[in-house]
This record gives sequence, structure tokens and C-alpha cells, in this order.
Amino acid sequence: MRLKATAYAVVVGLVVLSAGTLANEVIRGDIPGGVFGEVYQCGFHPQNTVVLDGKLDDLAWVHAPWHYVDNRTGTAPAPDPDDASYQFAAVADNDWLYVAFQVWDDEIRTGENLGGDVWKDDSVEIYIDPNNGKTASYETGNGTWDSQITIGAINIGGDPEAPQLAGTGDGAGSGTRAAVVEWEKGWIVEAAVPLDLPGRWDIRPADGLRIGFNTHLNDDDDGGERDHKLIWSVKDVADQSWQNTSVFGELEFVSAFLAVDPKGKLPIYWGAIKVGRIGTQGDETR
Amino acid sequence: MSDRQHLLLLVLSLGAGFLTALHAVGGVFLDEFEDGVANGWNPIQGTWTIQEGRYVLERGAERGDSAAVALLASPWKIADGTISVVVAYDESSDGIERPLILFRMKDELNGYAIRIRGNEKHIDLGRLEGGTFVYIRGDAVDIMEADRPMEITVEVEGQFAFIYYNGELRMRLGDPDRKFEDPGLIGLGGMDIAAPVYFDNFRVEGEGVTQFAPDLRPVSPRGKLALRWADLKGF
Repeated sequence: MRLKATAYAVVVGLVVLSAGTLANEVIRGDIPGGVFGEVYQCGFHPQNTVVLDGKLDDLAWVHAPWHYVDNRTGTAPAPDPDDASYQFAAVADNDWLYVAFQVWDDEIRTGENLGGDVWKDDSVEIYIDPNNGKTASYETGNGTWDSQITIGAINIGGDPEAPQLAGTGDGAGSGTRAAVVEWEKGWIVEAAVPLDLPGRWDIRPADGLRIGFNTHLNDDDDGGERDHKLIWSVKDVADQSWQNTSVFGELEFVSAFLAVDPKGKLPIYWGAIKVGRIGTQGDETR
Repeated sequence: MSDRQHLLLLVLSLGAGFLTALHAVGGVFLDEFEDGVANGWNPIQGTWTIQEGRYVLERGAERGDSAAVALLASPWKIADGTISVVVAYDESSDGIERPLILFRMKDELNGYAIRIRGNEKHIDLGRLEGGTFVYIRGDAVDIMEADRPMEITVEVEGQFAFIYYNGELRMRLGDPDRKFEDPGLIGLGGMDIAAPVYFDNFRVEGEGVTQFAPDLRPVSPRGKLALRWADLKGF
């Protein structure tokens, strides 16, 4: 009996050891969350509003799905998850697409590179292809304007209404707001991208609507050049999102009222099951 | 099931797992160039020699924009696997030479190339197309010291090449066009060769890889005798 127990303990131990490392995953919220690196499911509702204060305690974030990007996923991987890794989530109300990043970063570096070179310092990038055109170069028409929105850690403690932004496709002119704060293991970005940006895009969330979307993290450990580059989209194998929207993943809008306390959630969840929107896809938890 | 049966089952399971792992690791080819000859290497372009236990690219290809190439004339080809080599610049170099590590070579001048830019502290992934380097993507390796030998390891896995500098993972790069996916030959090369570039401790690991001995391969005696006789006669 003792032998049997030992044998099972060894097998269980091996399984636990092999599963013990952090890896890319979809952490489901009230909605499944999509498929890692391909589709992010974004809950939208007029009341999914987020307060831009750098705190991730808004109910929308608590109930949104998160995608965790590990330290090896990108063109310049980091040696361990504490050096560089991140998770992100997105929700929308009528006016804004909110995107939150929780970044693990053991060495925050800012201020050495400014403006268009902020990607060489610690920064996150949000990519938007409003018409999901998947074009090999950025489109610049009204309604099709593609944009890379780079938000540096240099904004830590800055004014959320007027962050320093950069990025191709005039990321600096994207009207994005962002609160950036430190946390014990890195830094946090809470950004709001306007859904209606005159002359550029007018995204009107609807159930099942998809836009092109991607997120990146740039990590600088020691000044000078960027040291690590992590990328969510599985198609962006050569860090081309800054000029090519065909390598973006997608963001799918899903009608879901996330900013409520659990008391009110059951009818909505039941409603989603009734219409077949909630399945087992992305049914992983950390 | 008795305790003994449980133990047997456990041993068999672990054994099967071990054998599977061994199979996945495959074999190893190693050339440290200590024998003073470059048997098994097929220089395509450039001037290649052996000096002090290192394979040396002394002069580049005749055409300026073309890469010097030497392919390993292995009996096997691989798509995935691990290639590592120690690369060193000459003392007289400013690091402007561009050593190359080649894999999935479809033929002599087409396949993937890892390019080292010593003076710029950069490593790139590109394609050799007709011997010309087509850049895909690279990144800075700010810990690079071009005046010291550097161990470069390339772990090729499906669409990705994981690139290690002195044992540290620095890049995970892929070709969005997936141009070369089939098994191919491995090689070394260089561009902009103003001073010699040295290669040492060349190692390939992958499924089906073997340590081959080119000297022991059967050769046709036809045509050999006359030449040998001429050598003896002192012509």
C-alpha cells in the first residue's frame, strides 16, 4: 500500500512540476475571453466605465477576462517572468475602449528616450485596426485609420488626461488617456482609447463586431536599447505590427455588463448561455 | 493490482517516457576543427581555411552583396533542432564583418540566416535568397562584446528561431512568410569580410542528426589512380 502511494505521489509530483511554470493563458472573467494571441473578447455595455486612476479595482476589470503573456512570448524574450511579462484586459462603454496592463518588471527604466523613441524604454503598445482591414501597411482613411499607441512608464504619476504618447499612425494624436502607476512588482497602465475619433475612426461596438487589435510590451533593464519585447498576437512573429496590420490579432465585442457586483450577474450570465455565447473556449484559469 | 504490478507499471511508464524524450532529443554532430581539416564542409563562396583548430572565413564572396557560404555536407537534413557555434572576430577587426549561421538551406544559396552585427551589438534573422541577405527582423544585444568569442545558439522550432547569446535567450524570431519550412542543410557564412572571422565548437542537435565521418565514405576509385601516381612522380 505504501509502495502504491509512493508511486502515485511520484507521478502526481511530476505532473505538478511540469505544470508549475507560468505560461500564456486566458483567464476567464464573466465572459470566456477568447483565444490567446488570436481573439480577445471585450465586454461592452454603457455602464462598463472605468475610473482612470491606475487601480485595477474597478468591477469591470474584476469581471473582465485577462490574457497573460509570458516572458518568452515575443521577439526578445526575458529570462524570467519577473523581469518582463504582462497581462492585459479590455472593456468598453459607449465612448471608450479601456485597456489595462499589469506589467511585471523588476527594473523600471524611463526618460532616456522620448517621443518616437519611447519604445526603447519601458512602455506598452496598443494596436488598433478599426475596420479590421488586415493590410500590409497602415491605412489612413476616415474610418480605416490604423494606429500604434505607445504609452511609456514615463507617465507614472502623470496626468491621465494628458499622457505622453507615441506610435506610428499618429498614436500621439489618438486622444488616448492613460493613468500609469507603479505596483510592487512592476507598473500598471489603465488606458482609454476613444471609440469615436473624428477623421480617423468611429467604432460602434456591437455583439460580434471585430476590430484588429494587438498589445506589446517593451522592457528596458539597463538603459540604452530595449532589452525585451513581448507580443500577444501569435501572427506577429517578427515585431511588424508597427507597420503591418495583417499580423494583428482581433478584439471581439461581446455585450456584457461587467461593472456590477456579483448579485446582479446571474441573469446576464444565464442570458448569455441561452443565446449560446458562453462556451468552453478559453476556459482556463490561473 | 498488487504492489509489484503497480511498481512494474510505474517503471514501464517512466521508461517509456524516458525513451520518448531520448527520441525527441535525437543525435548530435560536433566539429571542433581540432583535426586541422575541414572534411565534411563544402565551401560555396568565399575563402575558407582551418587555422589553430578553428574554421576561418578569410575572404568574402566575390560579389559584394553576396554572402560567403560553407555548407555542412551532412547525410542528413533537419527542419528543427539546435545549432551552436562559437564566433570570434579577428583582433584587427572593428566588428564590421557579418558572420552568418545558416539553417534550413534549400540549396547552396537559399535558406535562413542568423546575422551577427558585432560593432552594432545586434543579431538579425533573415533569408538568404540567391546568396543575398534579406532582413526579416533583429534586435539589440547590448551585452554583446565583439572583441571576445561569443557562443551563439539557435534553437529552431517550427516557425520560430530562439537565439541565445552566451547561453542567454535573447530573441524569438520568425518569418511571417514561412518561406523555408522543409528540412535543409546547416552552414556557416559571412558578409562584409574585411578581416577574418573564426568559427569553433560547431554543434548540431536534432532528430536524425549523426556524427558523420566524411573520410570513411565509399568513393569511386575511378580517376584517382592517375592523380595519385602523378603526385608520387612529383608533378
